[in-house]
Amino acid sequence: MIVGAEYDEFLDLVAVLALGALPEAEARRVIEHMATCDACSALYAELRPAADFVGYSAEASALDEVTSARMKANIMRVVRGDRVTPRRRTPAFGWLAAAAAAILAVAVGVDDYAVRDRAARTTEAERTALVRSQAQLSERQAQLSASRSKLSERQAQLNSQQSQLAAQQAQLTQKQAQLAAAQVRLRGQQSQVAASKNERSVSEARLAALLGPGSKHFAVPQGEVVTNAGRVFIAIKVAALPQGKVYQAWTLKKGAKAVAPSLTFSPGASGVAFLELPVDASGLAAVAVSVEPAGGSRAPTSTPKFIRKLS
Amino acid sequence: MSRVRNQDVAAFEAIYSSYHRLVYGIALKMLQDAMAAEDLTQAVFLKIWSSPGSFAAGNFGAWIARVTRNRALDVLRSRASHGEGGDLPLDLPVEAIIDDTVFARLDAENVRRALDTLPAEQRAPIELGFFAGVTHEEIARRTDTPLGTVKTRIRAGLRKLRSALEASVVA
Repeated sequence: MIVGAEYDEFLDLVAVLALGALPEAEARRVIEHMATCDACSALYAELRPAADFVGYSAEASALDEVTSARMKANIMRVVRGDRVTPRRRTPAFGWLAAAAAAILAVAVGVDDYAVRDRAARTTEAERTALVRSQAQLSERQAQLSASRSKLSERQAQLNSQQSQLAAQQAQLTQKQAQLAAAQVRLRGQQSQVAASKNERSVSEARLAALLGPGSKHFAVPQGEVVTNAGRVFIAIKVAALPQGKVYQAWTLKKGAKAVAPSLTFSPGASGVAFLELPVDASGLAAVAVSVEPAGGSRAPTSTPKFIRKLS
Repeated sequence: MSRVRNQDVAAFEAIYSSYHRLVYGIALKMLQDAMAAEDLTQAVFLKIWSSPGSFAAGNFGAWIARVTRNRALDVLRSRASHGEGGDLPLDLPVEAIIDDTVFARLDAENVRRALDTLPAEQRAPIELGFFAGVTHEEIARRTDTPLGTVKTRIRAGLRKLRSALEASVVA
């Protein structure tokens, strides 16, 4: 027997049952109890009508006349045994509307409500399943769009990174070119340094020969001709020449009647020229210098700057 | 209804005209889908036409409201089987227990006014229980209210609603 607080709780459950909001297992337990409890049965009988009338508050006073008339026309056709006019549906449900109408027409033919009822429930179940499938499809499409959007975003990032990389690559290539040019310049400078060193060592050797013991000095205007151990040097300060002109040395061997052409030369920035003539000094009678066309001449074409006998 | 039992089409048409807005309204509020509500409305009236004996006696409006709710619960169960809902309550029997003499003159406006007399904390669980087709446990969860409180409020609310309905009929 149920008493006290537990009983009061049961009365609450009876009210929930009257509303139709009790889960199946609990509802069956309360219904069993009511079969033996007058108080609970009385409460159910009192509250159940109130609960049933709650539905009245939803009466569709705003149902439009077109829909209302179509619904009525369809059901009255069924009642009279006519064919049902399918209602207008969205294209996605067109086949379903046709199927529903066909099912309903068959149901009317056999005049069996159970068949019609099953058809209506099947149609509803199919429509519900279709709506659900469509919702899932929409959801997947939304997910796909989101993925595409992310992919596009990622692609844009990649493109941007690729552009940056290309720009960096171009900068790197430019720097490599600059480095190569700098290396070429450096090698050139190193060659110049090496050439300068070599030239300086040659000059030093010549100077040693020029100033060494046994050297003989023969003065010329603003310079001298020096011989030493068979070598012949000219050290002279001369003016710069116009383009196309060079200085040329000449040698006269002992017993010869004409001079032979020797080196052509130009003075350095200081105006000094220092050169060694490629001849044996012991066989020479004199040395001369004249101004000649660039490339030199086979015989003097101008008055010599000097002619110096080596004796 | 006795004429409908004799397959009187005109009588059926009159019943349809009187109650189709009620049936459609309940179906629409419960299913939240106009086409599903239209299907359900046709199904309910076809049941009446094919099985007029299912209504024994009492208030026809209250009876058809309960039938509609039970059919809508079937649809909601179908959706729930596809993972769209949770636990659903048991269909209630649609026996004729309505006090016809008291409530014979009730209409939608009377009910709306009676519901308006309820405090919000009583009206909300009653409307959720009827139209959302959910259990009292789900009502407690949705309204963030202890289960015991929900049950007590439903009981008190239905008592108050009955009194208000009776008062509206007398007035």
